[in-house]
Amino acid sequence: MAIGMASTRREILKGGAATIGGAALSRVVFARAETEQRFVLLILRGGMDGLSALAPVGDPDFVRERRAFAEIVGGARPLDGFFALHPALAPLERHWRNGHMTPIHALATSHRGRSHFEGQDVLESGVVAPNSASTGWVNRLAGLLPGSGDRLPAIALGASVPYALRGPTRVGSAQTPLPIAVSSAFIERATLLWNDDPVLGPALAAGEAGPRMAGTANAYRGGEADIALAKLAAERLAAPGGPRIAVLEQNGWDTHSAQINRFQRQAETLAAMLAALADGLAGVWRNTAVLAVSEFGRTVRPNGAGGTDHGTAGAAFLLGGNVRGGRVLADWPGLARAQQHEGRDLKPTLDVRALYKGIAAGHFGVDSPSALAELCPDATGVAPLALFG
Amino acid sequence: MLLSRAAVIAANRFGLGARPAEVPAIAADPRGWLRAQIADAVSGAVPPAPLRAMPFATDHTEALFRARIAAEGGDLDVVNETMARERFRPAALAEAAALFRAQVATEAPFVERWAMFWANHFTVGARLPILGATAGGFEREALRPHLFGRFGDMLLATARHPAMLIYLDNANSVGMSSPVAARFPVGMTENHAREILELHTVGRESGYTQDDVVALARILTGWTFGRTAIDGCKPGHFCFIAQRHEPGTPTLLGRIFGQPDAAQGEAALAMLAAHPATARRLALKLARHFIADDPPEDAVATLERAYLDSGGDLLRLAETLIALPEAWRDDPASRKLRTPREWLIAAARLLDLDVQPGPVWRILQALGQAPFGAPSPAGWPDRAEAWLASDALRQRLDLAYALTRRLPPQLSPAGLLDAALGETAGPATRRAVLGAESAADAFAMLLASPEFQWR
Repeated sequence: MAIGMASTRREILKGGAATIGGAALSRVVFARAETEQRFVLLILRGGMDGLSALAPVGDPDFVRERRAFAEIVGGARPLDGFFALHPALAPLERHWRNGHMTPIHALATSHRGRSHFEGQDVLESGVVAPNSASTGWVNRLAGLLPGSGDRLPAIALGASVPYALRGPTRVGSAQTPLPIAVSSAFIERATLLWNDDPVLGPALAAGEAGPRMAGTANAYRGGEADIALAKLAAERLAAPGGPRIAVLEQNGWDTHSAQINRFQRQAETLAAMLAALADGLAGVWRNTAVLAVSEFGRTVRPNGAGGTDHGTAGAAFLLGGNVRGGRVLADWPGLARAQQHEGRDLKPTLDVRALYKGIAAGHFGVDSPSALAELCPDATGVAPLALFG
Repeated sequence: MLLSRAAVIAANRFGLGARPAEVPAIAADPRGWLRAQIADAVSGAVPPAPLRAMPFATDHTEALFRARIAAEGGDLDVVNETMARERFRPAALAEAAALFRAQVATEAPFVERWAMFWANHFTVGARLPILGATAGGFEREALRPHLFGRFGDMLLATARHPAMLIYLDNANSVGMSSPVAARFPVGMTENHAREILELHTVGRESGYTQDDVVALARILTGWTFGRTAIDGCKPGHFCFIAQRHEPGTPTLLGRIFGQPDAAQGEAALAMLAAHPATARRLALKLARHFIADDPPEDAVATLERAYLDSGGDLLRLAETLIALPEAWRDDPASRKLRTPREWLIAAARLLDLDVQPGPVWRILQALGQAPFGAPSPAGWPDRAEAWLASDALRQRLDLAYALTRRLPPQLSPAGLLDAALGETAGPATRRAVLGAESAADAFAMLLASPEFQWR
């Protein structure tokens, strides 16, 4: 690519801002995250079937309630005698053995409506009522990190900014670019024009400095594109001067039909995304935490289409070199019909915000009551979980 | 010709960006230009040329289910994968290219934007290869016949269309007490019912409950398409199969539905289409699309009244929208960010670009809006913040440059600047475009200008 040969984009932005005055300069100055800790939030959109991902094979009602889905994990070796990973997630066993993974179960947001969109709103805002917050919990987390200078604390992977990262703390974004050559002089002039637009100027300026890497943006299958973005996230976070927090997503977990095959493909991609993150961040794995979590789990019993419908509690995975791993974190409610939420879903016994607070406190040292109240404003009764060390 | 602010709004906010040849007509009477497009569409204008030769969605679904019948005892995954490779993926590419060309070539860009709005409201995403192949047919068959008809008719057409029945899984939903469920291990799925309530009609604000979702799911059991050699239906075509329908008289949103068979679902959808919460929700979505991310309440209320007074007449809604003073305001609070697709269409219309099928797909995918690729049944977001990722914006700049390298020499930067932005071009943009080193750089600067990102 031609871009970056003459000057880096950061220099362009500084130059542009300097020519039109100090007010513009503030738009390209970001809070430096003065931390070596890395965090990746991987949003599993569509409602991952937690009972398939992390199957409670030791539950006496498991086989009867799950029917054909129970057979899929029939041969799997339970992690701890009670929970077994879906076979497609077997690559995660190495983290379990190393004590670097905590699977979490019977976990839910505070939302109980079974709507994807409200569920994702609550998952990403970290606030009880859907549509009531205008900022995402990861953006607020980035804002709580100590900082100065001009480094972006957080980036979104992909072509849009997820709700979890929206808010007052400026965040960047990264995606695999189109392989086209562009004149840096042209980009410089166009960027100058954008400085005058109060919406577009700051949004563009939030980009990463430096030349863009040529990439392949033509992966047809969703899985390949997802894995490419996970690799890109790891590259950016691993860089010494790079961002410290990344949010990426994997769509496609809404398995209302033909779940056995669809879940298999989804789980294979998820395992590959997590492997790309762990491999790319191997050098800083002690400083890394990765949380993969979904807006809700799915119904306990299969529906008529070989799938499951929207449910309530589900499973999540926390990985990282300092994670207090080798255990499954769950206050298991049981799968007996009477134990199910409204007679159909896994009952939630753990609030995702206990994880959010636990990551802020245990991983980033953001543990003062006032900071945690800022992170999760209406969760004063939810104590942070001890997840690290 | 320098377009007035009203003409720029007609061309960009209501349309898809001006083609230079349209400029005189838009300038002469911006609102009249929009109304004439609707009048032509109402009087039976056929779909734009690139869409006329495309296949029916049922050509694909019928082929799929006939192949499945033929493979009885064979491996269905192999059938599916073979058909995906040989038929459905090439078909999806052709559909995406045809739709893009139609939107670039159309002389009725308001009608095309209106179609795009409803296709997003009733999203069918290419979750499976068969859906990529049939999403275009869905738009032509379920949506376009009703663009200026009744919303209730459009809703019914979507609920009966094979692409939607596959996308939201209702094709596989069987009543638990139905004759079929007595013989086979099958059951009900809630997905289509839930999304009809949440996304297509009344919305969460209406306060429906899980019981309402289950009631509508029961009502819609048996709405499917032919799939076997013996079910009496044509494979891949819509069919109500009474043997799959849940008997009973469910209560949905406080109303009891006691009709027999498919009439029960038709009555339920008609009730939902006429519901005040649906009027409110559609009014808000339309105002958000045509006025601002957070549209003024007066405008929403006017649209809501038009919907209720007319019994959900989409022609009345379109006319009301064009007559709204709020939609013609030119201030920072009344503007909409062009989505990547809208940006690429506007660029192609302005410069008469012929973007080939492969590049159309790859460019839209890189910008975050792959054809038929909406991430969920909620469709593409219609608020600016979803599209403000810095790298995606930067890719617009890169593309502005790449798309303008080989243009015919007779194009005039000054003429195209006026056609694209008219009076709304700021002095800095005007200087940057007219002072560019080359015509190619001038066009690139125009596509990259901040004004060109908005409509």
